[in-house]
Amino acid sequence: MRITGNSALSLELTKKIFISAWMQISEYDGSVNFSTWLTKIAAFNIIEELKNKDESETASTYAGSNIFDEELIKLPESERIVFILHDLEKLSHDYVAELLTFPVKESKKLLIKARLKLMKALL
Amino acid sequence: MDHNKVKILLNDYVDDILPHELVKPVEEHLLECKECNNFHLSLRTLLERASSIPDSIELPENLWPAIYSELREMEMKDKNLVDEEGKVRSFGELKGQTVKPDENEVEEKIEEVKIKKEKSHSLSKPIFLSLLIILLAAILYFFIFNETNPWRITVVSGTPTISQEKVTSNDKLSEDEILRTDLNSRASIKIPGIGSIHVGPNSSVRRIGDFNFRLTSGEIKASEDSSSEFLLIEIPSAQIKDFNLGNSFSLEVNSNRNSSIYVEKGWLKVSYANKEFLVPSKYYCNVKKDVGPGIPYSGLSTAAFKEALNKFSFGGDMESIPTILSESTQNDALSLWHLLQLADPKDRQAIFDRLSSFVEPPSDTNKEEILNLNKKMLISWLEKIDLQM
Repeated sequence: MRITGNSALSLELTKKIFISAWMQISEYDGSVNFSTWLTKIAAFNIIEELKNKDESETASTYAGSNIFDEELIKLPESERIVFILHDLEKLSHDYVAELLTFPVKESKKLLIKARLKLMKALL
Repeated sequence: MDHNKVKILLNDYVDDILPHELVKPVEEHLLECKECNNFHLSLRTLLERASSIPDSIELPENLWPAIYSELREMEMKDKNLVDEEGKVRSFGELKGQTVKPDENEVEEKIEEVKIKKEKSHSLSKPIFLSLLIILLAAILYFFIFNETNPWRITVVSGTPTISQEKVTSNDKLSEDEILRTDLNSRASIKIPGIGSIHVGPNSSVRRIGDFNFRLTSGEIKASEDSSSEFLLIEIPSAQIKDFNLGNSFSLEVNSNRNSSIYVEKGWLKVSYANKEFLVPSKYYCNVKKDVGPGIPYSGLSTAAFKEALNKFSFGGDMESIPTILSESTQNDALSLWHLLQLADPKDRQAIFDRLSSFVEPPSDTNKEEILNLNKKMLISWLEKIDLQM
């Protein structure tokens, strides 16, 4: 919900992620935490979905349930996604960059922008 | 340093991914620049707030019915060749076709459907059973595969953290995670195949692999009481590796990123660039940031010996060799063995003589070869020194 900002799309994605994890459970080899494996599947599905949707389909309908979320949802989509994946879901820049198909440098740049905006708004 | 550049670097600094060589300049800048220091504190505050927002948002009530419905639909797709009574439908009926297909094709399809029906028998069970199986599979994977080499943490005092979250005893330290202690906290980590690592206050331990971690600050004490694997520790400007199993040692990285190692029991190998030192029990080894380790010395060495050795190791002072030799005792044999290999050829003779007075070279070696740093003969001498230590 924090990434998409859209209730209907989030519901659709949650279903998709759940089913996707079910279908891929046999591929889980234990080399990483189960929660990390699940987070990566979720992140992959969300990013793929956002790439394939028009802006009208992903328009924000979620205002945030706390002040942090309220500010987070106001960030541009790319900055918001990088902040959530890196700072909330604890994925590395390498993996974030791989998911979003851009260089690690870009992931770092977007994270800095997101942090600066949130610091300005929240602190 | 430029403020804007520091502010960018601080993002990597708080994430603990800033290259080692930039850490000190950034930390020094923070001490003298109020603006950047405030930015640093704000950044940390933001990340603390981020880690305290609720992990999940309340799920909509219709989520589980929606997933149920989706799974049911998938299940029906699997069964779409079989009607509710389990009878095989005609091929035309199934495809909504009116043209009668070839009889052989129908026979083949019926066989295929019968097999499919047998296979799909289990799918006709209630959907919640499927959900239960998924849950069990997930739990099994989590506990069987993910737990092959868990690093279990025990909180000794205070509130150690991982990713700014409070750690409780029996929590795990996974790969790439950093265990941090503050001034008032201590923890211990049980590493399967190694033993226990006691983490002191103000320390930061990042797990890198199954038997590998990095200490960027603070202190640890290792008791390799269940050692069947070799532990590898990374510290600023050095790597420490078990040279044999079952070691006990302590290690401290101070705020200037210089380190000190003391081996209580066993042997460690400390290396950096082209330097490599063996540190036996009751010996210390100091590591200077960006320079690497110095020659190890005994806990029984005199202050004058240590001072002279320090000048040689970190200042390259060849003039200190006479003092090292005159102050050395039998306890310093291993230091002299290392010194022999680092000194200029002109100084080797004197070092050889002094070391020989404590431990004679083995009979299968010869002086000339040792002075030419014949590796095999040096190792042979080391083994004899080890026996007499």
